[in-house]
Amino acid sequence: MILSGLVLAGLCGCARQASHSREERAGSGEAGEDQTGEELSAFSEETQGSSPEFYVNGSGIAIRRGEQLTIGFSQIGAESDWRLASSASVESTFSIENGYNLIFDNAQQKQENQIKAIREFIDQGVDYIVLDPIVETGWTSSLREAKEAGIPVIIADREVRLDDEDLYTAWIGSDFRLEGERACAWLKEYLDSHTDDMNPGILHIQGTEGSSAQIGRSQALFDAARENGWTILQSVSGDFVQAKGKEVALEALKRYGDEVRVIYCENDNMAYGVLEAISEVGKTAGMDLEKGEILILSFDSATGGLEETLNGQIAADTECNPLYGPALSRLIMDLETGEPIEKKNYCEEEQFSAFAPIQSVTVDGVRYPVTMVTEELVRKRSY
Amino acid sequence: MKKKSSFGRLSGSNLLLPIVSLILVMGVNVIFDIASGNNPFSFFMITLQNTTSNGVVLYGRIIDILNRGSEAAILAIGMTLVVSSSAGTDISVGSVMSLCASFCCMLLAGYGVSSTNELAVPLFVGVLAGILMGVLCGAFNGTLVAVFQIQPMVATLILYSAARAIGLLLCNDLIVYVRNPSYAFFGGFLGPIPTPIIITLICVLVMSLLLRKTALGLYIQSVGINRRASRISGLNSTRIIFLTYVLCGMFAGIAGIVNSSRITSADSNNIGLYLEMDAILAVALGGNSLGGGRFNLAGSIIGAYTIQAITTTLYALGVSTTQAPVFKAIIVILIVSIQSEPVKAFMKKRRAVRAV
Repeated sequence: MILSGLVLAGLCGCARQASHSREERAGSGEAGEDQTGEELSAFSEETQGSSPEFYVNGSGIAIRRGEQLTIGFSQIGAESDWRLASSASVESTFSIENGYNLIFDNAQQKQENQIKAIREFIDQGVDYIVLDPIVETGWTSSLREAKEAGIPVIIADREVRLDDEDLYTAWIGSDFRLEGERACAWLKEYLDSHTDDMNPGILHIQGTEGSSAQIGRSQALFDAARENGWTILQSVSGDFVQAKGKEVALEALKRYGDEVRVIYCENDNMAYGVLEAISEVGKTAGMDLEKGEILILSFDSATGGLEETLNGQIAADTECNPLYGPALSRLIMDLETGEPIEKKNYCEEEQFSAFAPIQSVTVDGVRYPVTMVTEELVRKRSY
Repeated sequence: MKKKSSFGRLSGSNLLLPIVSLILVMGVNVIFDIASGNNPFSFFMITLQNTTSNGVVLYGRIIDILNRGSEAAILAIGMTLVVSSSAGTDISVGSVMSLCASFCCMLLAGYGVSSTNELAVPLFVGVLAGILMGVLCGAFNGTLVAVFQIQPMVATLILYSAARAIGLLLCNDLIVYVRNPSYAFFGGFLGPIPTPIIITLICVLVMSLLLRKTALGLYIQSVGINRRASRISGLNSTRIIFLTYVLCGMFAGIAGIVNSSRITSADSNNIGLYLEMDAILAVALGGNSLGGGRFNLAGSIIGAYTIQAITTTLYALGVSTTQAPVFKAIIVILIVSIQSEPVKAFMKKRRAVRAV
């Protein structure tokens, strides 16, 4: 009986390349493997045509109706509200009710833990590995192991740098470069039309150096500064955390004094620290540059960030959407049903401000609306 | 005998080199200020600054160094005692800081709550429990080192790796925000003075009184110099070593609360990260031997502030945060080698030659 299960599993494996690891697992001697095998073979014939195994519900989640899919998800950690929201989105999307079995691994900020998690996922024979990589490099060998085991890997949120792009199946996440460009476009619009202060000194608080978000957002600022002749007083890293953001901002505010007019801060958590630092040196954050207020641009748009935006403390907060769970599930649906997929998949993102005169910004000829924050919007925010 | 001048007394004591190192680091700032055309003493200026959130507060680089060096200074007190008594280091203090902060915030916010404005338990209960957690960790380390005689680095390696994870577990893998102004006090201001400075001052005063006015300081050194001989002369060596670890854990707890209060949250992954290294370094910079025995508490405290002065100086010079550790390492190598025995002996010889 075991043998027949194995043979069937083997056949299925040939028939459907994308997830043969599951069939192998089905044939590896669990109770009732015969029946499982039959179910699988029937399933594999059905998927040749349309996809009765999936339907997309109202929230954009692809619900699995066939046999459960096992997803191994290696998350970076729980270092910010943003990260928590992304974990929650993945966890609620890939629930048992939706037809998935999610193995969630929190790597607690260490690449070793992520590499270990990938190996464990391979040993457990999951159907898909989703990796949110803490750094861009050093993934070649573990991703090769996954490829050799025939498990498709989807990279989420941050990016990986590889010589062989075929080591992963697809990438899903934010267009950090575009986020930066939208923030800079907002600033340009503001400086051109809404203040007399044409060339304010910009303090640039960077995220963890070398992370995709830092690279994209910083590059956008550097390019915009070159194009518009803006002065960047200093670029300094605050590691995306509040305490460090406060420390470096305080030091820069003391060093440059009144020259600091705009702070381009690469995430909300650091912006909270920046706001504390501004208050500690006896200045105020706001949008009235002539009155000596410091204009803050931030990213992420977590609830706390939007609250500050609503109060006018953050001038414009560009969203970095952590809720990629549903889009991820649709991507997996397309892979399972053999639909063609894009290698790079960008999440839709917004930009928030309480400054009514700027209703939209233009980047490379494309108009992006700026959403006005309201109390209701902040209240309804899920992260 | 001729009475020595105050400088003569200082040069004879072990404190000379740590103080010179600190002054050298500060000197760099003076040179930088002159080079950039500022007031040469702007580094040392302390002014009153009107802030929007805390009223009038003291303001200046020196205050910054004293303020931000607080955690390392508090840790250095405990570390000095541990090094002296057991000739080993407690490498778990950074992780214990994180655990204590997580435990305190977890109690204040309630389990599983990630952000709160209301305190679930009175403030002092949470803070006391956080410090007690530090004492507990210290007792655990102390038992392993003193009773089971496991090497200190191996014994404390357990909590070094586990404490941070336990903290995350207590906080349900979340960053717990305690957005209640009363919790921000320990990292904020008492009148015009930053509270961490006051907390450090109290810790140092209480500890040095305890060491000077009782025989505890003498006992610790004697156990560190020769455990067996001390036991034979009637000291309970085991108990004394155990006590130093408990104290070290307690100070880690206090430092953890201060650090988490600064950001009014328990960020388990980042609180106290690499701070155990700063604490050990502070002890070494203070001219103390990591081989145990004689110790100099004041030296360790000066060492802790020297490390912070280096960091602050590098920020002021505009060195990027990723490159800063390289420069920090170079400065530390210089300071440690100035204090090393061969260099000291060489200087002594030269002085002797000149005297002839």
